[in-house]
Amino acid sequence: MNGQFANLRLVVTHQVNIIDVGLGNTASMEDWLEARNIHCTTVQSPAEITANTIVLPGAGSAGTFMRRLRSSGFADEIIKLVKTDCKLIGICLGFQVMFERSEEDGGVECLGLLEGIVEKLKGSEPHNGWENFNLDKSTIDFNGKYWPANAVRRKKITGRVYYNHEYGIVTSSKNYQTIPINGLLRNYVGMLIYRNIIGMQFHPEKSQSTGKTILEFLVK
Amino acid sequence: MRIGGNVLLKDAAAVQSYAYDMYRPLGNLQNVISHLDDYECDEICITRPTRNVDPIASFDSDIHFLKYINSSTPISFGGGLRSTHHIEKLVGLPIERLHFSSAFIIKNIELILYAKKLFGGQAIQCCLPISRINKEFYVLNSATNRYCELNEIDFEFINLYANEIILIDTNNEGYNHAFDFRILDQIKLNPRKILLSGGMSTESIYRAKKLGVTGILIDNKILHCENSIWKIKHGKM
Repeated sequence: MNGQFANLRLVVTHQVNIIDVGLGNTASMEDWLEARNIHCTTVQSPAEITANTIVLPGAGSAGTFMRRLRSSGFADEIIKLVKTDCKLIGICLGFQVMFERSEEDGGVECLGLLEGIVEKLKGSEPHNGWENFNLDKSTIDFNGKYWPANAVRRKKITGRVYYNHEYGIVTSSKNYQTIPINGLLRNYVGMLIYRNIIGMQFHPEKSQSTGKTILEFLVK
Repeated sequence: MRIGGNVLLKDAAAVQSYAYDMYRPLGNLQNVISHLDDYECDEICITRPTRNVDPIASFDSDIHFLKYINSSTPISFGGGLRSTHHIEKLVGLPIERLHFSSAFIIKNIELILYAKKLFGGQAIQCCLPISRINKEFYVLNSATNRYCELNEIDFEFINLYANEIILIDTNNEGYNHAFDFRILDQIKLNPRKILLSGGMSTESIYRAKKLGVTGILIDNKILHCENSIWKIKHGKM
């Protein structure tokens, strides 16, 4: 009997590291992930990264955030890990810094993982509030493979998501799968998926039931 | 128009207040937040009702509870945010936005810009408690517990540095259908940056929507069965 089970070991199938540079709502992120039985740890240095999925939450100003990413070594580490097919999920400012440049703080060079820029929102005051969200899961292409729509689950994620931002992302690349922010802000990116990079301008961790569904779909 | 809830946090517990004066215990903050999550409230505004002296130990105690709050609804926090030390303690907590009151009244630009650096410009809200005394409107400076005349307030400064402005009718806080809309006649701000609170209920919500304000924060009645936010949001009232 002992020999039969001697080599059994517990394997955690979903592991996530949350990057913490002292800016961003890491507490809500942990709650968000734990609520879906997704094991996560908050990391404060690149050496602590062990998971295949990294979440980059962001709050504050782009200049301050990028300075902290660079000084901590996370900027270089993120760029390196993305090339090794590690999944990167950026949220709000964490999503914005994935692009080439931001207009905030007089102009900030960002990580350059994606083509596009971040500019002050035009045609609207700062965007605070809820927008409709619709995503057909069967059309999402992760890393060159189509995500199989599970026959017993809904194929679409519909609901509402929460936005709170003054700057928005503009990209002209045709390589990305994007969902725009609704209404007046349709020229700005609400969500983006490109191979192993996922970005959300809205806050899924504060988008109630829709946010929980999006999380489960993206991480698991 | 967003419909949110206003929750007061006093001595590490949720309370209800009437006319910005009387406090009645409401219970555990997490229980209150969980109910608001279930009701699918658009946002939750948690405020520490500080008046004049606010010992740091009291702030620390409230923050300690806030640290463990579990909510999937956006949260704005304020009350007693008077120094960079207070702001630093909020980093990493499950809150998205901060609301300042006396900091805007006295134009504490350093504090506001520091908060903006850590939380972002979109996170900064100004909270103005407004009282009608002898037919005139005044703004309460919570730090000094003193009323200021409207012409003492620099609304241009507030408009420049605040992403949104919360106007609280303190006379009617906690009461039904009582918000005094004459406040909006006195304070000339872009309605799309304004949230209203104090005496909000169904009739006042409809009127607020017609005026084009960006949102309302229901105060005491938010958890009462007869006036629940769920009913308001889903058109059951």
